[in-house]
Amino acid sequence: MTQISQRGKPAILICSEPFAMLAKGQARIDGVPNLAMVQIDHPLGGMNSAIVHERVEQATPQVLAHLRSMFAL
Amino acid sequence: MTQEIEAYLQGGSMTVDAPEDIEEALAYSMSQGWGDGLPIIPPTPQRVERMLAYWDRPWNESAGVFAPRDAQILPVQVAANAVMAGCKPAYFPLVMLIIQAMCEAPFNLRGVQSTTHPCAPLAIFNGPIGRELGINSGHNAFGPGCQANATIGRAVRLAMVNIAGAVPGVGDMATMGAPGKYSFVVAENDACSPWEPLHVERGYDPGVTTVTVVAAEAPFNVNDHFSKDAAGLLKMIAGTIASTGANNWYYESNAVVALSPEHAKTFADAGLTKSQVQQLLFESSTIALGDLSTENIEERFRKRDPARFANAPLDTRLTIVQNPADLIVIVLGGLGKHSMYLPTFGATRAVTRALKLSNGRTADSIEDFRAAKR
Repeated sequence: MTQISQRGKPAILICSEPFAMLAKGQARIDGVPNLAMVQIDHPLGGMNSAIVHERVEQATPQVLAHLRSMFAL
Repeated sequence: MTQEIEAYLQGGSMTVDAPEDIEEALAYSMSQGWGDGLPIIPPTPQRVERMLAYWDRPWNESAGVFAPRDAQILPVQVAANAVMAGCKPAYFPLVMLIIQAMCEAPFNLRGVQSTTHPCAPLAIFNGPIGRELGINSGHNAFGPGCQANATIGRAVRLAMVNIAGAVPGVGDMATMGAPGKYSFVVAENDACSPWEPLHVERGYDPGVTTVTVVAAEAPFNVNDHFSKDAAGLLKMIAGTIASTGANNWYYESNAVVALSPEHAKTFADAGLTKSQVQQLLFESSTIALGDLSTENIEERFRKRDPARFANAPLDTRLTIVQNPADLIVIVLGGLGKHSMYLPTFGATRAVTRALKLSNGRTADSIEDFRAAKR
């Protein structure tokens, strides 16, 4: 995601909360300290579709907020 | 040189007034997040200088970039971690060699450091200097009792945490971790091997000292005291490899089989070369696609590689590695009929690197480093 952002393309990283610190640190190291980031509850892997939908509902407003900010909507 | 190091450390606010008492020093190091939980030797400038006596390059000349923090690999900082780990100064070039090997791109150190997978860098030494320093290749090679095995790997781990930022739960997200994260260093038991040693197989002269680093899981034992021939032993080892949990089924990588000298002899007595053993294990350690859960088949195979797997039947065979030579076979350990299998992180390749002096020559003895320093 940092490489996409470095190419000037809009990029939003979605990660579960326990991995946020690692993700922020890595984005900083990769030269993209302000990488747009969306946090959702952990875990995501191996969950049934009802829980995946919950994660989508968590992520969607955050993604939209980032998009509004990126494109001044 | 001590004064130079002290000035450097003080300039970077890297010196502290740590307690001299060993128990208080341990408590202090843990409070600072420096340790692995075991007692450390305080890295005073004098001790660091003694460590650097075996480094024939400048103590502040970077040896590369250390992921995931992308920190510079400064020998003076690595030396401080080697002191903390309990290394003899003569071990220091091997600590640096492991770190430099891990930082080569195919190893994917960034992934290895931060993954939830329980991999740790296994360092396999070949060549004369491993013998000179007494790295254990015999009884209990993966276990305790040898200062070189215990402290060289511990120094690497401390550097991975303190310099590279692989702090558990922050930069190192391993779900379980593994005992090998304390230290994971062996030398191949080439004196008891019927075949060419690993570094010769990988293109080096026998007299060159090398390390091969592999991002490996904890060893999985293969107990076989009763098979009298190669076919029986092959079946037992292949059966151990053919279990569904390894990352290797999903990536192009290496895996390791550490044969005890007695098991290696069983194969050699049947007239098998090492490459033939690799070929036979490759062919006989497969699992069926249908051995995996429905979701793993769908996500890991049908969606990721539809050209091969979209309509593949459930009896399609999967191999643990892509090529027989990717199955690293070494001879290790003492008497007895136990061999070991070590899967890997998967998104990684083994890297072999030679121990060289700053003039580019390979070192014949560890004392060459100290002599070149003068």
